[in-house]
Amino acid sequence: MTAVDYLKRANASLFSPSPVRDMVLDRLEMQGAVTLPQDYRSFLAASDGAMFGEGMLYGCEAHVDPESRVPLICLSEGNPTRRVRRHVAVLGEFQEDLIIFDGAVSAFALANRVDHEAFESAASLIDLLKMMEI
Amino acid sequence: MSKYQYEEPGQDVRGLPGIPTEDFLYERRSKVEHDRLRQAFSKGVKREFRRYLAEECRDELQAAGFSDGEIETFASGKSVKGFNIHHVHPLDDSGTNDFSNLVLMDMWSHSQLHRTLDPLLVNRRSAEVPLPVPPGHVYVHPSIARERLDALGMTLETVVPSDGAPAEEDAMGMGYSR
Repeated sequence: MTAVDYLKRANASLFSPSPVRDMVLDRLEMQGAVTLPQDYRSFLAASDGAMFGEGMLYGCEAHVDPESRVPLICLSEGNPTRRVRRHVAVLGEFQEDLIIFDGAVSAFALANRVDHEAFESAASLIDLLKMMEI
Repeated sequence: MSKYQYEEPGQDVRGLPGIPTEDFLYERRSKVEHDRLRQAFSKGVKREFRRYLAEECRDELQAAGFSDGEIETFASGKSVKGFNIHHVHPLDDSGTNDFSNLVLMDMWSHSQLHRTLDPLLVNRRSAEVPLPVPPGHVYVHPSIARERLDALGMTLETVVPSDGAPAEEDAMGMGYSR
């Protein structure tokens, strides 16, 4: 089962795939920020974001900072106005926490919004969704 | 223009009409205490707060475009897709799980609020910040509330008497009514 199948079963709102998806992901990786795992790329290929229960997964298109043009799933190390460090991509929000992918340990996680410290993690996106009781 | 999208102190947060800010001294609390509060919130408080909303804030919910069915969902303690609960005073700081510190917000506004506030707190143990303080227990962005009311077949009415002051303001203070 894919993350999209899982979210459909949970009656999530899924958004249309973004035409700029590949451009954004390539740019993300070219910046050396983080390499997103295949299951998240598959999710973005099928649905450019989702809204479910008390959470949402961002997509690419709506996720580009209009000022810096940097994808918001990528935050530059050392810039306090960016919200994550290198190797970490913010994929969405759940309640008052962030949904992140930490490339350093190849794990999806729920993290504190302010210090981005992960407090629950999972090896796959589906596992994290299950953890959130989606 | 404010660097962090705030208007002058006391005015609304940009993009979030009806949410003013208050001067606030942020001082991060211990992780242990934060985790304890967060767990209590996730395990029970949020469900109780939804029930409280359904019982005590029905007018606010209706004015924000929630249907009777959605209010019943809250009454059962469950969430409605696209909305979550915000701690006005952050759990990272002095905030608690008291209902007086909780506001139901649409996800877009909630996200916008945190995108405005969070950069002021990153890497800080203490900071004076303009804290957004939504009024009441329910905040739904006016454009979203309008869409939801339209979908319910409700009408948008702004009741302004001849003296120019709102004669009868609804619970949201946004002029929406059945």
